[in-house]
Formats: sequence, C-alpha cells, structure tokens
Amino acid sequence: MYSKKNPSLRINEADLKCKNGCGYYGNEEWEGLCSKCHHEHLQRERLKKTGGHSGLHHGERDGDKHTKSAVGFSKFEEKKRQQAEKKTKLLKLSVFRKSSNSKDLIRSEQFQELYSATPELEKLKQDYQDLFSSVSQSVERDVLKSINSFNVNVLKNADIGTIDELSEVVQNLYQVFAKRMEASIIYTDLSQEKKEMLLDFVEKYVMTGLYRILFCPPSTTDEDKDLSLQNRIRQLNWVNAQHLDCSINETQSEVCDLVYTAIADIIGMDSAKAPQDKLSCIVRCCRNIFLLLQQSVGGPASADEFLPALIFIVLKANPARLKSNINYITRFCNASRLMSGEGGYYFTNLCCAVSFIENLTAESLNMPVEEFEQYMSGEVIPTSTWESALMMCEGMHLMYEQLATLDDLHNRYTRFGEGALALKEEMQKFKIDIADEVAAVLARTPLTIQPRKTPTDIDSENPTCESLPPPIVPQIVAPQIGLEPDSVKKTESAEDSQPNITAAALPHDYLSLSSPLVFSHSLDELTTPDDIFGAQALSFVQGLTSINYDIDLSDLSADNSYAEDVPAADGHKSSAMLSLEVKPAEELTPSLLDNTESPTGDLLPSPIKPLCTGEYQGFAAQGWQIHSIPCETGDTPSLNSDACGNVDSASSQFQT
Amino acid sequence: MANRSGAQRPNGTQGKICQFKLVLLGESAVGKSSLVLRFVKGQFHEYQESTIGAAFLTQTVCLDDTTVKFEIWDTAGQERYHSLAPMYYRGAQAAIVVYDITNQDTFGRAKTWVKELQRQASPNIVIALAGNKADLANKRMVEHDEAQGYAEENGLLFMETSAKTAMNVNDIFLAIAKKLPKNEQVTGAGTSGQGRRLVESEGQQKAPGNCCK
Repeated sequence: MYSKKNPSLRINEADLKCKNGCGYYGNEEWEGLCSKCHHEHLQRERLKKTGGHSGLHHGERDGDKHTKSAVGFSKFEEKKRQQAEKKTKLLKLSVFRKSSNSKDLIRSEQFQELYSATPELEKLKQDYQDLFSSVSQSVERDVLKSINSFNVNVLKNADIGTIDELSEVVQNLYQVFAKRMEASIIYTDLSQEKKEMLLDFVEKYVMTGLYRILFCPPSTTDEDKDLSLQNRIRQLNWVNAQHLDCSINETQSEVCDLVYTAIADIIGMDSAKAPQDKLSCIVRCCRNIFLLLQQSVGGPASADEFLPALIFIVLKANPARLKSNINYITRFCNASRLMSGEGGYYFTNLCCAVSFIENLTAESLNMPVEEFEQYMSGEVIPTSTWESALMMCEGMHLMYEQLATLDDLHNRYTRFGEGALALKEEMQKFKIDIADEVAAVLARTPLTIQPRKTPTDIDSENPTCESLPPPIVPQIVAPQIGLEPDSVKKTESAEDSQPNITAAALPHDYLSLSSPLVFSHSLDELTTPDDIFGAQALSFVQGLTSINYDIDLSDLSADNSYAEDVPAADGHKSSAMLSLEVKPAEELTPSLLDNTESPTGDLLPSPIKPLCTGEYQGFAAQGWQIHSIPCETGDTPSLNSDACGNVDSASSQFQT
Repeated sequence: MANRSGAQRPNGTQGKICQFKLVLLGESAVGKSSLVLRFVKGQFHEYQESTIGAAFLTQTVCLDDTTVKFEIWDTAGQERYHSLAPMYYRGAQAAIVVYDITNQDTFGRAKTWVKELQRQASPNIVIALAGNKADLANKRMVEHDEAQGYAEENGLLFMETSAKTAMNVNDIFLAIAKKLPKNEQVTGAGTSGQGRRLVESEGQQKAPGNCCK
C-alpha cells in the first residue's frame, strides 16, 4: 500500500483520473476513484451488506469486516469510514453508542494496523539508530513509551474531536514531551541538540504512523479546497515570469534545470509523511529557487525576487493536494519548528504564494481587467507562456548548434581556399617549370621547320601523265577479267598453287595479273585500250622506281604507290567478284553469254567447252551449281588442274 | 521556540540566549536586503559564494549578559504583495521599516507600514524606522528632522543608515536588541500559538491583533 503510493512523476494524467470519469483525480487507495465517487460507492456497498443482516450496528460492523476481507479495501479508507460513521451515529443515533469495550477493541485494532509492517517506520528507526546508540537504554525506552502514550492519546481523541481540537492535542503532546525531557532525570545528561533530535524523532515517528488518520481527514473540507486550488492554478497556467515581475532567466539551461528541480521538490512534498519531512521538501525547493535566482540576479536574492519566483514555481508545479499538505503541516508540525528557522520562513512564503494565487486579480498582475478576463476564460492565449519560453530555449540550443556547424563550415571553407591558393601557386610554378624546361629543350634542340612531307602527286610530276588515259576503267575491265582469270588460272595454277584471287593478296594479284595481261596482249598484238593499259602499267612501275630514287624515301613512296593502288586493286577485286558472281548466270544461259561478250572475248580461247556442257545436260540443273562451287574456291588441286576432269569425277560421284 | 529561545544552559555561565524574529518591511529597492547583508555578512556588492539568499538570515549580537539571536525575515516590497505582509510579521518581536531618503514615496509607504504594524502586529512589537541610503545625502528628499519627528510621535526607533558605508547598520540592530524584552515568558508565550494560526487565519488577514492564548 505504501509502496504504491511512492511518487512517480511520469504517470499519465489520464491514469490519475477518477475511474468514474467525473473529471476529478482518483486515488489508488480508493480503487482509482475520487473521494466523492468512492464515498458513494462505499455507501452503496454498505447498504447492500446491511440489508442482509438483522442486527443493526453490530451487524454493520460484521459487514464491514466482511467487506474488508472480501474486497480488500484499504485500511485507511476503512478507518476513515469508521470515523465518519461514528460521527454520524453520535449525532443521529446517540442511543446506539457503543460500549467502551468495543471502542478499545477498535483502537487496539487500529494501533496494530498502524504499526504493523510499515517499512517507513523501520527506516525511520534506522535513520535515528546513531542517535539511539549514543543515548542510554533508559532514554530509548522512555521515548518509545512516550510514543505509545502519544498514539493512544491521539487515537482516543481522533474519534471525538474536530481536526482543530486534535491539532491542539498533538501540539500539547509535543510540549508535554519537551517538558518531560526538561524535567525527567533520565534526560538530564543529554545535550540540547540531542533533545531536539529526540523531539523530532517522536514527531516523525508518531506522524508517520498516524498519517492516514490525520492527513486530509474526511471531516474537513481540505479536499474540496485542494480541488479548487488545483483548478485555480490550472486556470492560471498562462501566467508567466514576466507577469509576476519574476527575474527567472528561462533561456539559461542551468536555470531551467533548477526550475525543474524546484518543481520536483515541491511535488515531492505530497509523498512525504511526517510534517517535518514535508517541510524539508519545501526548504529544498526554496533553496533551489535561490540558486536559480542567483544566476539571474547576480547576487543573493532578496524577498523581492524570491516570492515571485516561488509563486511562479507553484503555478508551474501545481502540486497535488497542496492545501491539504499546508493544513496538515500547520496543524501537526511542532509549532516551534514552524515559527522559526529557515523552514518556518519558507513555509510562510509558501502560504503567502498560495494566498496570492487564490486572491490573484488583474490588479495584482498589473494588467487591464479585460485582458485578465480574456486569459482566464481561455479566449486568448498569451504568446509568451512557459511553453513558448521552452520552445525558445530549444530554438536557442538549435541556433547554437547550427552556429557551431557554420563555424566548422567556415573553417573548412578557409582551409579549402588556402588549398586552392596553394594549388594555384603550384600550378603557376609548374607552368613556369614547364616553360623553362621547354625553353631548355628548345635551346638544346632548336626547331628547324622542314618542308612538309606531302604525298606527291605522281601524275602531276610526270610530264607524260597528261597524255595518258585514266589508269583504270573498271567497267570495261570487269568482263575481261571475268573471263580471263580462267585462262590465267590455267597458266598460273601450273606455276604456283596459290589461290589467284584474294583480297589480301591484291598487290601481288595486280602484278601477277598485269604481267599475264600484258603478256597476253602483246602476244595478241592488238591495239586495244588494254594494250595501252599494259604499257601504262609498265611505265607506271618504272615511274615508281624512278620516283623512289628521287625522294630517297623508299618506304614512303611504296606507301604512296600502294595508296594509289588501292582503288585500282579494288576495281580489280570488285570486278573479279562481280565476274565470279555473274558466272553461274552466264553458265545457265551459255547462248546469251556468247552473244553479249565483248569483241575481245571472241579472240580469247573460251574456257567453257561444249564438251562439258554436253555431259552436264544429262543431269539436273543442280549439277551446274554444284560444279560452280569448287571452281570458285579453287581449293582442290584436282579441280584446278582440269575442269573437265573435275566434272567427270563429280559426275562419276553422282552416278555412284 | 519556547524551549530554544529561553533555554538556560545548565551551568549558567553564558547567560540567557534570546531568539527574536525580526521582519523587514519597506518598498522594493530601498535596500532592505543590502542592510541585512551588511549586518549579517558585512558585505555590500561583494557577495561570497556561500550567500545564496538574502531573504532569510540569522545573526547573533551580544548584550551584557544576554545573547540575542536575530532571525531576519525579509518581505517582498512590491505593492501587489502588500496584503501578504501580515503572514510575515505575525509573531515577530521586532520590525525594521526601511525607506529611501532619496525617495519621498518610500517614506510614505513606510508610514503605512508603521500604521499597519501598530494596528495588526503583536502589541509589544519593537518597530524601528531606517532611512537608508544616507550616503546619497546630496539627493536627499526626506529630511532627517521630518522623519525624526514622525518617529518620536509614534514611539519608533529611528536612524538614518547606509548599507554602502555601513553607517548605523549595527547600531540600529543593537538598539532593537536593547529595547526587546528579555523576559522569556513574554517571547515564549507570544509565539506558541501563532505558528498554528498562520494559515488558518489567512482568509481574515486584516483581523486586528494576534492570538496569544
């Protein structure tokens, strides 16, 4: 139960609300309901139970016990209810006053409940272990005895008196104990400090034990006041440091941290049990406020700065059950502690802050009434609220970060610029170096511009050129060669077995072709253009050699001759190809071929003999085509040696 | 407090130790906290790290056979917090009302404070009037005689002080200490019930008188 009540600042607001959904805050001890809903709930439960019992009040008691065991109500609520019950009974049904016996029974029950298995009391004892080890056994025994009588006294009065009377009783008991320490011989050899500590211990021990009875009792209106104060603070959440003339520098991160620490301290007050512990929470909170004011003011802060800051903190913290806590401290804290010392001063300030908040008007914030009303009704939301201040804080952080990035970029840019300059210098140096080097090289090897070696136009140089006809006339030559190769082949193949027409061997071809041509023409002794060509070719070759000697660069001249040769060779080649391709067509129509042949064709010995054709005609047209293929490749020497033999063998192959 | 303030040491050689609560009242910026800092720490504009606040300070002065411990409660001087003052001066045995001699308005406010204290604070409260910033005599707006006359009329202690030069600072506290009743019964009874009344009566702050039982 206690452990559950430990404060956690990270609970969702929705989880704290009453489960009934009435909008107020619920309490775990009240099954997550708010006090009002829980009261109603309890009353309903009670009505149900009492309905089943015959005996009115004793039955009720039994019923209560059943509820306790069955539903597992919190003990605190049980007592609260008993107390409330008793009061109503005393008022309304004085006839049914319980006997003193049952009362004692209840009291001892309560006592056991209060002091059984409460880890906080154990912890308190441990905290004061040092103190008790320094005092005699008799003192310790007497203190514990005093605590017992204290408790009995309070519990006895808890049933009857109002909270103020109870407060009076408690205060008197403090004084009684103090006087006892002064008077009793047991305490005589103790120092004043030890006595004070013992007094504190008694107060803390008793109050921690009785906390559930004394804190915010149902007989008071503390809870309503809590709620109204909480609502009030919520309504005032737009109030910022400027409105209060409060010199909190919210943009400083250390100040912000201290603000949060102070807020946490004052919120933590609700979880402390003993009045003095609550008081020390307030003191911690206020010391943090002074620390943060020191950052803003630049010296020790006076009350002029402190009170507005405290009001600001209370407004921003909106501590739970603030009014109940203040009332509890006022009633049950040792009055001498509250009236003097730092704790007393800060507590007074807290009371002032609460009072200021409760009575806050437009005037007290120095603003026009209309503006104040607008803020209060939520019509207008001030632009400079705490949140926006925090946002500004964030913005500043971001700005600083970006400034740092910019700095970094700037540095890099500078470095880059330096690098660029260095590179530029290097480049200039390099340029100069190269220039020097070039100059040196030039000085070493002076440039002598020699006449450009252009491929000389052989024709233009040759005086006989103009009189010559164009060297190559492919159109005319093609049919001639087309027919000639076969004759050439016959002669040639006998001499060497190389294929006569290939693209790669063109120069050779040219020579090999030209010579037989010339030879054949000379043999025929015909004044045909071919004759001229042959002579030209010869003179050409001679010319080439003569030029070679003139230029004194044999390689170049060869290149030149070759380059000039290419079109001619191409002409030869293309004509040769053409002739080969045309061949089958010629052979398919031998009669046509004969007719279309050039006049020179008649003079030449025709390679196509009727012998062959006569034999072939016995076969299918395919035979001709098959025959043509080996002719073209000219790979097999057998075919090359004799076309007819080849045909024979082919025909024999077909026959077999 | 009853136990502490009037407690006599068992050996009795040191005499009495009296603890008194003293409130500082006055408009803001008249130098209330400077006065206290000068009295308690001997500082003016040369704050040490240890001094985190000037709102609550304690100082002990010795008078013949009695040690007087002052517990000095500073109050917020702004007009808007005026209504909260009774919570501070309730239960106080002494009060210093501070005004600024270079500002006539602050003297007017001081008079209101005095009137309020006489009406609402404990009847035997010792009230001192301090005209601060006496070092700025060339800018004086409140005449010494005027204030002196007012103080005599109302039975107040009066001194012109300067927190800057430390003029009359210790003197005014000593004068208060001398005037305070050393009878522990008086001080003890005066405070016992008041702490508890602090909040209960806050709704009726203007209620005159205190509540000694």
